[in-house]
This record gives sequence, structure tokens and C-alpha cells, in this order.
Amino acid sequence: MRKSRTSPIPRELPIFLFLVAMCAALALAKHTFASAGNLRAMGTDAAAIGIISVGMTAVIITGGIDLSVAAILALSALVGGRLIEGGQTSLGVAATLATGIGCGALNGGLITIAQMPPIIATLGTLYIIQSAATLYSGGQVVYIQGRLGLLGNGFVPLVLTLLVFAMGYLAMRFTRLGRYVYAIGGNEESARLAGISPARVKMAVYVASGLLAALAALVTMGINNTFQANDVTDYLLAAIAAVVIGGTSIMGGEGTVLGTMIGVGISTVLRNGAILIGLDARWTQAVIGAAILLAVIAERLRRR
Amino acid sequence: MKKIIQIKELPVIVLCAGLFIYFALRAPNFVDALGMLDDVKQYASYAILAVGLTLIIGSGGIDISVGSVLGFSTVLLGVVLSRPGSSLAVACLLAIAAGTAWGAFNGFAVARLKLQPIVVTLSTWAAARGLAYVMAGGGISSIKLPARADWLANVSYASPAPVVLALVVAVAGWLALSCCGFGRHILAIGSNEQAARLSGIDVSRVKLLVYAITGFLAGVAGVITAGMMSTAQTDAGLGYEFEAITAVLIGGTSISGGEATVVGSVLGVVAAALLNRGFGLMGINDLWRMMFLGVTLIVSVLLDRLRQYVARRSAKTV
Repeated sequence: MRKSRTSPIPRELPIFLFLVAMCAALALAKHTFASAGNLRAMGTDAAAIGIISVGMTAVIITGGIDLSVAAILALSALVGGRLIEGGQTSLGVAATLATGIGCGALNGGLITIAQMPPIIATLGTLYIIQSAATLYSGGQVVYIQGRLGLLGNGFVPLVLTLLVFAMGYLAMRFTRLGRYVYAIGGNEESARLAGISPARVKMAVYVASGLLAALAALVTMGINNTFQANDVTDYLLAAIAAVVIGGTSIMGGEGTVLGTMIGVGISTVLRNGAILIGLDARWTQAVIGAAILLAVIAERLRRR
Repeated sequence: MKKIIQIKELPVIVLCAGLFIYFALRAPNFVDALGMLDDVKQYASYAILAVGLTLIIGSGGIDISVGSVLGFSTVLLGVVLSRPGSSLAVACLLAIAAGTAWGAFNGFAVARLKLQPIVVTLSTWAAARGLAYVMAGGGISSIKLPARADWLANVSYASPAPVVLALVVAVAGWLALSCCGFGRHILAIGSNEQAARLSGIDVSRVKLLVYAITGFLAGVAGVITAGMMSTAQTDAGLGYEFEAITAVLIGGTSISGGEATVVGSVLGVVAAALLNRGFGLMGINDLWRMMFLGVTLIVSVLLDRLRQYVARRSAKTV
């Protein structure tokens, strides 16, 4: 079961110390690291991946996976972006969020009603949603002409991301739905026998994942002022990587939103630090691969 | 038992036949043997990856690193060849050995360290691609193969060798899975690992082998890819893992392990190749092909559910 409440050492402590050590080393090596400008840059860099990784955490804790998040982000950005481009900003924002919710409900329906394994259902919807996004936009770039400017300015993306993390943390830790998510991931059959409806909880989790992808779409558009269908293909595995580095078990039942936040922090600081100290940026992807592996091995050792 | 196995590939057979007939009627010049061969050749490396993935998924695992490992082998081949005096044979062997090493690493982490396959191969997915970028000395870039590699380029580009190789790999995979103890062990592990261990199967050895074999195949596919392009590109194989896994699942292999069919997987790749050619000739946007594959994946899994349900029902009434 979850060790966070029974073990005297919080499960996030090792990776948190790692993040702190990394930041301290970078701050000592380069005084520009801790500057407001760099913090803002890192916040902007982490925003979209951070927001979708909160939903991904909940999905993975139920024992599932959502391979379609980046595609949902793209489709909802393009659907809403078109309207925003045409001047209907509030309608566009609503359409973005509605698209995200609709795609999440499609995933949830395939997984709960049709009883498909999440990895297949969301692999299928990944194709469908991704190609729908590109077909809808015709490969064209959407220009939102600063109409979401506020969302992308200064520290707004960072603050918004932290807010999503805080809400995710509270929801997973202190609400009934959050407890049900852990219960289903721990043992779905016994959760069902205890009177929990796994279908309803899973539906909620996949819809939340879709909604957060749409929110990330708004933030991405706000930051870049433009959007194109293939802008975000890297986000899927980056989000899964952050969740796994954060100590969430891919088998479900274990993990925390706090851990994921630290996971996002680690991969963001790695990318940023590599550029700052002039280390070849090409190394970062290899290093992130190694970080994922170290995180799971550490998790394995901790459990012994 | 034999009857059930035959039914397992039925959806993908119907799919291939249906696509063939539809395109033969609708797409201009679809039934042109040479053109067909040319298009199918583009899918040889997918087929080779799909055979390895069939073994892995049959054992209850997954490997999402195949596309990156393919890319790594391709780039390694290019880097070695760009050294003056290096021989083509050595470069090919090194590239294939590197693929095997990545696969063996995956297998080691899954079988001996008992880590989750999806996480392990996610990390090698990132690491192999990252190191490929590092080796090539840039982001997305390509290394032109020197004249010494002309033989490889000719064989893979101008002859049907890639298709023949893919067929050989498929037959070997089919034999391994259906005609020997190794295949039975893979499926036994996939359906119930604990029972397989208790019945004396060396589970970790079998797992290590299937990942190493898949790495080897990804290395071979990497060499072919370099040959077909005449260049080693750092983005070679990008996204192949999704298409290959989709072909395996459309083919009738169960994602939860224990049931696998190499024939189905190859037909899954054939379906993708037919779609590519047919839609290409009809001038339909390639994205509709992706959409079609996504819908087919979902429908084929639903059909599989239905088949299992009917099988259970009929088993009860007998």
C-alpha cells in the first residue's frame, strides 16, 4: 500500500534532495540560474508538460495510461485556436475545454464501457485524435494574435501550473475521489467489493486528463501565440517520464502528485542547466533516459 | 485449439482482403506488381520490428524503444562508415551488435532487475535516441553514406532484398513461436508467469532472450533503413514503435500476453502497407490512413473481446 502515510521518510524525499542539490550546484556554477528571467523561462518551459502530467499521475495511479494526451492538447488547441483567431475569444476558450473533455470522455468510454485495456484504447485514440487535429487544421498554423496574452506572460504559466499541481495534490490526498483512485489502482476487485464503482472513477480520471490537456493547450497558445498540430508530439513521453521519475508506480496504486511535480522540476532543470553551463544540449535526452531508469531502480530498492 | 488459432487472424485476413479488393477496383494502377513491391519494401523494417514485438507482447511485456534503437543503429552505421578506411561489413556488424546490446539491456532490466517493461523501454527510448543525436553531433541531421556503402544501398534500395529478409525473419519468428519449446515457454510466461516458473521454465532467461532478439532485429532494420535512404538520419525510426505495436495488435496478438501470432502481425503490417499505397494512389491525405488505423485498432480489439466471449459461451453450453 501507500508508504507515504506509514513510512517515517516521505517517499518524495530522495528525489526532492536530488532536485535541490542540482539547483544548488547550478546556482553556484552560474549566477544567472537563479535570476528572475531564468526562473520565468523554466516556468514557461515546464508549464504544459506539468499540467498534463498531473492528469497522467491520476491515470497511472488507477493502473491505466493515457497515450493520447499530447494529441488531445493539439486537437483542442486547434479547435479553440481557430475561433480565437477569428475574434471569438471566450467561445474559443470554451471550445478548447469542451474538446478536451469530449476526448477524455471518449477514452473513458472505451475503457469503462467497452472494457478495453487503456494502453490500446488510448493508442487508438492517439491516432484518431492526432490525425483529426492535422486534418482539421490542414497543417496550417493558428495565430491567436495575443488574445490569450495574459496566459503566457511573465510568471503566469508558472503560477498556473503550480495551482494545477496544488489542486491535484489536494484532490488526490483529501477527497473521496482521490482515495478511490488509489483503491482502484491497488486492487480493483477489492475496491469494487468495497462498494466503489471503478467505471465511474476511471471515467472521471480520463475526463480530468483530457480537461488538463485542454488547459495546457490554452497555456501553450498563450505562450507561443501560435499553434501547429505537430508542436507537441514530445509532450506525451515527457509527461510519462516526469510521473515515473516522481516515483509513481506504473502498476498503479502508488504515487503522488507532489512526486510528479518534483519529476517535472528535475527534467526542466536538467534541460535548462545543460544549456546554461554550455553542456551540449544533445546530452539531455540521454540523461533523462538515465534518470528514468535510476528512479525506477531507486523505487525498487526502497520497497525492499 | 487449432481452430481457435485460425480464427484469431481472421479479422486481419478479412481486412487485408477487403483493402486489396477495394483498392484494386478504385485506385488506378493498384495491381502493378513492381509498384506494389516498391511500396511494400518501405514497410520491411516495420515487419521486422513487428516480429520481435510479437514475441515480447506474447510474453506479457512491451518494448517502446524499438524505433529509437533502430535510429541508434542507423546512426552508428553512418558514423563508423564516415571514418576513413572502415569496412562496410564491420560497420553493419557493429550496428547490429549495438541493437542487440540495447535489447539485451532491456531484457536484463526486465528479467533480472524485475523492472516494469514499459518504464525500462521508455528510458531506453529516450537514451538511445539521445545518444544517436550525440553521436551524429547535432540535432536532427543526416550522414551521407560513402561510396563503400554502395553495395548496401543497391541491395536495399534497388532489389527486393528487404522484403525477402522480412519474410525470412517472419518465418523464423513463426517457427520459433509455434514449433519449438522456446515459443511455448514465451506464451506460457505471457499467460501465467508464476505457473510457468513453477513448471520449471527459466523465466528470466526466456525474457532476456526475447528482448535481445528484438534489439537484434531493430539493429538489422536500422542497417536496412540506412541502406534504403543512402543516408544515416538521426530521426530514422522515429515513431515506428507505435506503428509496429499497432500492427501486432491488429494482427490478433493479445496485449495481456499468452496469445501471439507472427502471421497476424505481418498481415497487420501488410494492411498498413496496402493502405499507404491505396490512399497514395487515390490521392487521399496520409492522415486518413492514421485515422483508419486507429479505428481499426479499436475495432479489432472489440472483435477479439467478442470472439473470447463467444468462445466462453460455447464452451459453457457444450
